[in-house]
Amino acid sequence: MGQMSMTQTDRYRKLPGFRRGILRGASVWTGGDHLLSVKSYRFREDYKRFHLRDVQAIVVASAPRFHISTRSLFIGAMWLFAYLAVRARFELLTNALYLVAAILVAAWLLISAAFSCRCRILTAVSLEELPSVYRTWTARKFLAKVEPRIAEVQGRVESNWAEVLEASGAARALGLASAAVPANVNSAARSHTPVSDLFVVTLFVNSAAMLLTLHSPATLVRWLASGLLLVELGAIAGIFVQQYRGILRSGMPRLAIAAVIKTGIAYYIGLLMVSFAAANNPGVDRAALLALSPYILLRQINACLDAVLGLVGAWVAMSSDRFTD
Amino acid sequence: MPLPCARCRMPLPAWELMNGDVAVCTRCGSANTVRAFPAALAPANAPARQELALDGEAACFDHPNKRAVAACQQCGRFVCRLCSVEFGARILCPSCVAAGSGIAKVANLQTSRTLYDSIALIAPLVTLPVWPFTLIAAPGAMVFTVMKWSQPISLVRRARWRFVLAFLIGLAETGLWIWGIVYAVAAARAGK
Repeated sequence: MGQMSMTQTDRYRKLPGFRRGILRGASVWTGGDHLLSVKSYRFREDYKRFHLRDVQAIVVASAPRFHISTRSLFIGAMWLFAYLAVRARFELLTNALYLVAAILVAAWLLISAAFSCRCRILTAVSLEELPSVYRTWTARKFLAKVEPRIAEVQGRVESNWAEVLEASGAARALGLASAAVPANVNSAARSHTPVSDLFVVTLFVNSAAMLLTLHSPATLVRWLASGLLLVELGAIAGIFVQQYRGILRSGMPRLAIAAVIKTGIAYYIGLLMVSFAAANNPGVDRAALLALSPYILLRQINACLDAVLGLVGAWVAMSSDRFTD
Repeated sequence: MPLPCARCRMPLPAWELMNGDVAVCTRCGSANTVRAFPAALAPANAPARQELALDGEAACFDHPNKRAVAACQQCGRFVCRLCSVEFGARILCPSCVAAGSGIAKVANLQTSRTLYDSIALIAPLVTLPVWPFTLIAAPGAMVFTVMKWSQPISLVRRARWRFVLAFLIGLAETGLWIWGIVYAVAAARAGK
């Protein structure tokens, strides 16, 4: 039977790398004789232990990772506060802030595209990703910390390890290679289904309807928009169900999440706009409030975002293996 | 065992691995930095040959025809090679591990934990935009904090400041509610 260790008395020490998202996070810790991978889901933590004596390899691959961390969100919020504070008073500072924003976005894009990676830890029975190690400098620090610890337990590998591995692996490759083959090769999940197609079509129809009825205050138009929104939300629910059942790959559900977030934000901003407009223009009816220029601008942006999401959806539906788990 | 690409999980070609520490995946083109350890070169764990117990030899408690290799340090039962569970420097039988008693009790084999402190903290904060709900959430957070204070939280972070903060925020919100209600009642009476 397997080997287990006593970890109650262990004090975990954190290893380099910490992935902080809004809802999810990840980190790696070192215990007495094992590494502990922690995945946080805001109110729950999942743990995976990798015993140092079982670790066969650690592989770090260069890969783009466009992760928006809470740190970058904080920087974005600080920029927004600074912008709101100075925009009407100091033109020079406002321009400087635009420059800062451009530099920040460019730096984030550069780091995400060129200095990011994916790190996996391989044992005889698993191949797990360490989500917290997603920047190349973090991976270097992580390896520098972990490698000596594993070497303490297992010893050093021979210099010609690749040849030895090839020679010894030849006999076993057939049995074990299947564990390393990506899931999407044999996956029955599809990139699009009739429900996801309906969702993409709804995005385009929503976008077109919004652009065509921008200045129309008719009640019928509002009812039509609400009906389309309901169809879109129904399709989104269907997409989540299909992903849960393994029918649909993860690309379309991600798009659905983006659409839900977009719809929610647009709804609340619209509500705030109408409320402010109603407060500033007492006695004006709702239809007239909806014809005001800020609300029209919001609808234009909403329509453009719907069109962009629709295009992304069409691309996801047509791509066969880009968006996989 | 073939080493996989960390990005697309396809096995990395042997000739790339032989070139040095960096192997380029032939499928996705990613440069993989590979650190291999002796466990990768060890022979696969073939099922250990179960030696039969001869007359007069100690036999496994669960497999009477198998020779015992050790005794459980919790209950004293003899165990064969298959049944022996290494627990640090000790050996236990599967029953003691399953029962989680004695030595096995102190071993932490949990794979998941609920973060009660985060739940306690989020309740009074998330209801602030819809402030009438704080009437329930604030005292609820305080009660929840008291109830769950002694529960284990995260395996890796042990500070309970979230509980303290949740209690303080809950206390402040409850205090504001009490003050508001008292003020409203007093104002109503003064109006009469």
